[in-house]
Amino acid sequence: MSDTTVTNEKKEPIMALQGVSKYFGGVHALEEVDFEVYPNEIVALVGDNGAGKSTLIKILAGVHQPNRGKILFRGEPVEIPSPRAAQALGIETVYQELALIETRDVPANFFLGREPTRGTSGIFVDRKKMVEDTVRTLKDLGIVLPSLRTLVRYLSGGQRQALAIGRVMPWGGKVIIMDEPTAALGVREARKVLDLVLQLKEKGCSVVVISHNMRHVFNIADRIVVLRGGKKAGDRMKSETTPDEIVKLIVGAEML
Amino acid sequence: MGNSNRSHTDTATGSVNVTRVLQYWRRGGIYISLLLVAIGLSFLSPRFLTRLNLVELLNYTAIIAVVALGQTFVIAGKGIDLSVGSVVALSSCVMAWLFIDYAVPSVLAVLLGIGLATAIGTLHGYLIAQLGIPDLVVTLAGLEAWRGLVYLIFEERVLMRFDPFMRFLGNYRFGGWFPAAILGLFIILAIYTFTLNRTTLGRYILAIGGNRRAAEYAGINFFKYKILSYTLSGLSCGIASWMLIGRLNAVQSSLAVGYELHSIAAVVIGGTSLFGGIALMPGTVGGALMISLIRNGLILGGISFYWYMIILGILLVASVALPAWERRKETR
Repeated sequence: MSDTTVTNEKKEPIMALQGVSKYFGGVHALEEVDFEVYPNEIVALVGDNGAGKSTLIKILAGVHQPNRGKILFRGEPVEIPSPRAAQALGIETVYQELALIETRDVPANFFLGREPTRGTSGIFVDRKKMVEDTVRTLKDLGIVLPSLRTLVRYLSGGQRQALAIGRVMPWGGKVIIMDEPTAALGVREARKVLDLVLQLKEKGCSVVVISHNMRHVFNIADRIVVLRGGKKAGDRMKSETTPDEIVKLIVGAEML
Repeated sequence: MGNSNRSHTDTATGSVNVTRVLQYWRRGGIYISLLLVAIGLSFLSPRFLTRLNLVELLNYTAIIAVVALGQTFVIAGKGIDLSVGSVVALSSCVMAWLFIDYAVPSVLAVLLGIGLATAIGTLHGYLIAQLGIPDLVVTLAGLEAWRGLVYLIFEERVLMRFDPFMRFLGNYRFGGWFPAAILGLFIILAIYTFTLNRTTLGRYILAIGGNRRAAEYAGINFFKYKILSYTLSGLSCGIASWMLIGRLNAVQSSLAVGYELHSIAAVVIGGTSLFGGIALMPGTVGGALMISLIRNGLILGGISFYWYMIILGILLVASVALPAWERRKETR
């Protein structure tokens, strides 16, 4: 895995933030942050609560707009005014709040907001195709759910997370963003989710993942970016750093 | 958060049967209850299971059922429409008024009345979605204001004597016995069921009702679908108005009082969640039928009307208790 990270450095980033700042009222959530995502790598985004991690990925996902700075996608400056616009570029997001609808069943959540339709009106939902595609994708990923008709309300935390990740996969996204995918999961379920993240990389995607769990970070990431107080505090290849160093960067102890 | 999720996993195997049963009960419970009450009533009175009584029962139920089907869309989107009775009164009176005072052709009068009700529903939806005024406040204001407008215009007048088209939906009988109202009800039920489950319109209303933020993250326009849910309630009120004119052949300001409670009761008894995101159209018709059945049974049994009100109250609480319990379990 470390040799792929070496080649990454020579590549052009698939996505980049340049000098991005974001303010909420008087609060500086992000200040002058540069952030790159290279093709086919897993970047872990770490930092204390309030360091600006969620704000940063919400800018990538089109939920927030930066007050200053540029977003580049495949080298071109872009604006991402909405989650739909992000999806159109090939940026898929798995939110911390999971963004599943608990009162709906598995296929309804799987295709939420982009249901296959019959005819040209875009109104008549093709439920049969929804069910078939859901079955196929879940099978490909080795995700086992009790029944497709089950409301998401009745799924376990791990099953929900698998569904939330699985549903972004068929759309050909090149950049997948995940906000704490292993939070609140048991050991076995977390392991399954990490496997899914690695599968995404094998399929050629880039993954940006927020995590508080150093073990998980060092397990899967190629590169680790540290945020502190809205600024970038460090950017390390995994092969060239240690959990100790990352923790010190997070809490702000001087290293160099 | 970690704890709640872990315990969820641990209890999953133990509680899965209970939740299964609850899911089935939500879908089928209303029909089992209807059957039991019907069997009970047929023992109580030999007249109950006659074709005449059953047809009349369904015919009587049709108007409130149509209103309740529109209400189902609103509740699916986590809203509530308290204005339905006043909107039905206003659009009925306007249909009658145009026809009698201004000699507007009956087809046009009916269409204008339905259009007015639809526009009022849309206005409610706009105030709720765009201005962020709570559903309860907007439609409670509608309940008062539209009724006030009806009294202001029509005072104590009774408008009557309509032509066959105006009376068609509420009064016509195919072959001399089968009411057009029942046929109309089932056509509307079929269209609404399809709309709810098989179109983006219905599915997105369910999505915003189930979890607004998740729906918005998925690119679903909350404002559009919130407004449209009230538009559909208004449309249903308009169609019900046409039915009501035909039924009564006379229209006055005090029409359709109490429809808000009966329609909401029908929706909730039918298995739709008052907390949004889960809705069953056929259940709503079952719920409306249940309310009529109880009323019918009490009349057949010669029991005081006050019991009807008490039983309806108990039934309403019991129907909301199930989803409330499920939610408590879930959020813990």
